[in-house]
Amino acid sequence: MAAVEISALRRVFPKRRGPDHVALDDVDLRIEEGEVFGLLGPNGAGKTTLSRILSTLLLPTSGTVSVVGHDVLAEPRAVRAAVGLVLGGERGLYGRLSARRNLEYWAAMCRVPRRVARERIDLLLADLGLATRADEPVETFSRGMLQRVHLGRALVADPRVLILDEPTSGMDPNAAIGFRQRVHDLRAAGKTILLATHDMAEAEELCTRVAFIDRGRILATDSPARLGLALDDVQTITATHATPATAARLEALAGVRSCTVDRAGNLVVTTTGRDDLAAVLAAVAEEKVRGIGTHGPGLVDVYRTLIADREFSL
Amino acid sequence: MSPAAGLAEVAVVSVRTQARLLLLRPGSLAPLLVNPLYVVVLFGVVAAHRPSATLLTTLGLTAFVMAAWGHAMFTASHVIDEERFSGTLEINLTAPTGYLTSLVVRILTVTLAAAPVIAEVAAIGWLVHGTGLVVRDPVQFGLAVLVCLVGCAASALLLSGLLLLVRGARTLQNALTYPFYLLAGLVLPHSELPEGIRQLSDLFFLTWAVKGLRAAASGAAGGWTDLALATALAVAQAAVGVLVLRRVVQRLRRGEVSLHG
Ligand SMILES: Nc1ncnc2c1ncn2[C@@H]1O[C@H](COP(=O)(O)OP(=O)(O)O)[C@@H](O)[C@H]1O
Ligand SMILES: [Mg+2]
Repeated sequence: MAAVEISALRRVFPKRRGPDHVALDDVDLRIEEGEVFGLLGPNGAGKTTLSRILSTLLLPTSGTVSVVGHDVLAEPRAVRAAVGLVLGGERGLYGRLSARRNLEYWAAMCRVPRRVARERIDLLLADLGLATRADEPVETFSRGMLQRVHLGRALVADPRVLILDEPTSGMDPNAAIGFRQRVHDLRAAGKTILLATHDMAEAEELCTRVAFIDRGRILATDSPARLGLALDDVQTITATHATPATAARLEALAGVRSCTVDRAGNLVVTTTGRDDLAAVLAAVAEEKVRGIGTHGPGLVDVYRTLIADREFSL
Repeated sequence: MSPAAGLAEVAVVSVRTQARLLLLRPGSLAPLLVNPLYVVVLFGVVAAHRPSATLLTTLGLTAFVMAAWGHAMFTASHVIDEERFSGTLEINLTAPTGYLTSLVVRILTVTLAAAPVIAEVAAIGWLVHGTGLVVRDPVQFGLAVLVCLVGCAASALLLSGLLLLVRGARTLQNALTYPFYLLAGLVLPHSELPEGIRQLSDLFFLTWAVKGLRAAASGAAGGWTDLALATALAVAQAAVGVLVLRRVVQRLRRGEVSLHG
């Protein structure tokens, strides 16, 4: 049995004026138990909408969605019992209450017997590094600590499927690394995890498989390695201390597919093929740049290939 | 855990959580403490007329009912709004079952925080006039206070649902006190209300709760009937409130009402 099974899912938001907004369009997806599945896409792609549908906060307009074998429409309670939802951001906890009280409340709402809950909460607070501040109001917590309370809250009912919607957005790098370590641990413990994010490095590090989603449609689904392999031709060269003149010279070379330099002088060159790498790299080395590096295709490249940049075309 | 034991657990944790939320930000209880002080002024005005203990008791009860109703309309009815604002509504809707139970219990908890006002009013009467509330039948009176508060909670429940369901309902919220005091016979005697209004007032639980309170205090006959009527009307109102909230949750899940404040 799949942990998550979605077929022909569509979600439409009626608009008061103009045509309806299609947030999810003909989505098919199957996530096996024990997978860490990444849902990648830009803002507005439909990631949160899908997370909400899987946790029964939002009903599908059409199509079928089931979680550990239970249909979200026919058996919403069973679905809720199987799913733990973690939303990114500061909202979703009782700020005036302590971390422990927040977890106790949720354990009772999920019918976890009191004795089991007490032990589990102690364990979770210790595991998540919250033990020393467990009895302070969470409104005094940092962003990273709040996210750990969120995770603890979701885990207190021991759900089979964990849905993390942009859990590390807005976290400082150390907090994000710590949070990813928890996800590693959960993966090792066999939890099924759906991770919605637009952080490609995070997805590359954590996910067994990923799906790219844009404008409500799934564009590709595979393991990060295989998706990268499909783009084997794209090699990237990076360097610092470049100028627009550098970029102009490099762009004219044969074998260069794209070449950009930002205001801080960061240079990104992609080659048209693997065979061109040596020649282009030599040309870059001739320039007065520093910190030259190369890497093969990663999820960032897959993302750039699949999803058009709309930031400047609005 | 059996379903019933589970629901009991939800109720207990909801009372506890809501009580903590209230006590950790006691500012929302301030009007409860302050509003009954107006009776000091009323007591002062009637003092020259050598008021009877009965009149003072009626004034004190009026102050209590007004404070309890105002608290229900302006504080208890905002439980869901606060949940939306803090984002906990979304999370609570992912609990397997029992969120409605939790809401009902929490609104009731906030409303019951008005109970000590009855003691405050009695204390004021005692300090100003040397007589507190005169109560002939304490058991009936205690029950009448309870019915009054539970009815106010039922009204808060209904209101909290309507605020989310009916667009523009919020702008009417300021009209929720004085007209209802009038309707409940707190300002004018019930018998002096115009015909149509009086029939409407007969359907309002608070009319009968106020009658029941006064009867229990004065020992007049008919107090139990008043309380039975008040209870029946309050239960009916709570039932409508639960139906409205169910509908609100349905519309939230359909995406027709925003989960956020
Ligand atoms: N309740 C809603 N009403 C109307 N439109 C919505 C609603 N929720 C989401 N949308 C729209 O659906 C699209 C997908 O949103 P969302 O799932 O939040 O994207 P993501 O999480 O990937 O950033 C967006 O264009 C958004 O504006
Ligand atoms: Mg989102």
